[in-house]
Amino acid sequence: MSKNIIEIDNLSKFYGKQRGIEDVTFSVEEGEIFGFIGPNGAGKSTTIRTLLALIYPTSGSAKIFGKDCIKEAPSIAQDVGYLPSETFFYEGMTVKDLLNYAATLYRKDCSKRIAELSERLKLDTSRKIRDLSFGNKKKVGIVAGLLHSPRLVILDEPTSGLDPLMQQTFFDILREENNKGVTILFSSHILSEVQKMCNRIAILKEGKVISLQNIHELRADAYKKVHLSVESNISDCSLSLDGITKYEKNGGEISFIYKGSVNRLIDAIQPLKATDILIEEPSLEEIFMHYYQ
Amino acid sequence: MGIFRFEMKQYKGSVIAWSIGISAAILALLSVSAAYTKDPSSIALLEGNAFLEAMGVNPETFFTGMGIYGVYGSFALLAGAIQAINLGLSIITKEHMQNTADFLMTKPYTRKRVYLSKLAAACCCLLITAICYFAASLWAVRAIPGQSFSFTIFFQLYLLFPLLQLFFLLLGMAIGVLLSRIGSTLPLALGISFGFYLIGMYSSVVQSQVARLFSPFKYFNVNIIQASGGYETGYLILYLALLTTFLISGYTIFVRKDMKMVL
Repeated sequence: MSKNIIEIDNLSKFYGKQRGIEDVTFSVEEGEIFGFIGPNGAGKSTTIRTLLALIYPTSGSAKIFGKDCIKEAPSIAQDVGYLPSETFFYEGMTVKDLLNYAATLYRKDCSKRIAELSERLKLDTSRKIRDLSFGNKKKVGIVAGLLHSPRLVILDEPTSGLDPLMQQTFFDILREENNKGVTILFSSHILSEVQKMCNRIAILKEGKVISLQNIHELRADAYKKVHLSVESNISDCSLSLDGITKYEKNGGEISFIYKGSVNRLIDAIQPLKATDILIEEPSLEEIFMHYYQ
Repeated sequence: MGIFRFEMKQYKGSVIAWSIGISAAILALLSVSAAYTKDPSSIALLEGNAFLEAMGVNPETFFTGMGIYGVYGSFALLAGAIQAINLGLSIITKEHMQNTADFLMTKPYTRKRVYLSKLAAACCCLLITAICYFAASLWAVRAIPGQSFSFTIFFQLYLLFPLLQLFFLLLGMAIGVLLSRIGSTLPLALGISFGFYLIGMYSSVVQSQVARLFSPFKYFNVNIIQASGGYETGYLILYLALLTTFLISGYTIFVRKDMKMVL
């Protein structure tokens, strides 16, 4: 049985009367890529910042590697890599000096790893931070977050500013790390990223976890989008099947949303003499909207 | 060691500039003023001068080497206070202003160690300035002709410089922890330093002991040091109490404070 790398138990954070997160409870197993999704303001960053001891919880507890996140923060930080949504560094430094400084703070010789990651991300380490674009600063953040070969990587909206090719390289790096046993907590509101990367997800709404599921179960339980092409001379081609919503017919084209048994759906379609059928998995956006409506 | 060395590197240029500036200023002022000491009959001209009263100048001792050092040293104290409070403010607030707090605070260092490393680096920066100021002061005071020189009195007068720098450094760090998002630290540093300096001048003019309590520049009276060769115990205790308060409050708040999110 896998052990839990992150354990969050009834964690709450209030800024005065304003709610940050409330009674958040979930755990992340070793070697897992765990998605953490929700719109802006749902409490994703607050949860992450509490895990990293950047802010102190109002109540509840959080543990990483079995250690209390607040009391043993420095010891935990030795094995945690963090990539914030917006990366900021000391503007007057060169990339190389900054990364060496980060390595010094971990008390490790990370020169090989820095060179390897910089090369893969096509990062020029001789440039000053202030001269870098937003995307290149993000690359510096990725290298700074991974240079000490952490056991847990925490990513908060990690891909903003990266072009699609660089996003792919970044995801490849993450998968390689994960294959080596690194656990990843991946927070995002770009759901396709989560869909692509994660094993399990927690959906956050207004500071609370409203769903915690395996990503395949989540899809299986959810709606399917169906597009049908039928012979246009068939006048009566309505479907009488439970679980159908948003039924639209435009000439020979029919589309609807379906939730239920796929076999029953096929049986119902058969009399329509369909010339083409397209059953789409719902995107996480659609699943997500389901929870938000 | 990492944070200490990093901070020292960051403030290298500023420390060199302040050290040269303050040392050159005291050298120039004392060299020019050396000429006054040759004409003690000028004492009468200083009697009843409101500006000199405000500066806390004693006409009886003004035309001695230590007297001139005590007066012009107060300008150096003001400059040193500005350097120290600005350093204290910026070494703390820069992490928030540059949004680098997330980078630094997610490294395997306790908050306590971060604060103490920054404090140690700032103290080291000020020590460099203080050593330069000491060398420049000693050389300039010794160069004043025809004066008997007491190293004990000189050292007690000189010591006001590092003592006040430490006071303003800790005050700056405590304010920096409380008001972490200060757009520019220099105007605030200038405002606080000049404010205290003016309160000190006011306390000298009206001879107000209450006003004197609110100006660290007047905690150590140069005339008393020259006359009795020591600091006033009551004000020394007040100085130490405030120093301890700034240190403990700055440290405690820094260790317990939430690091604001980058917006």
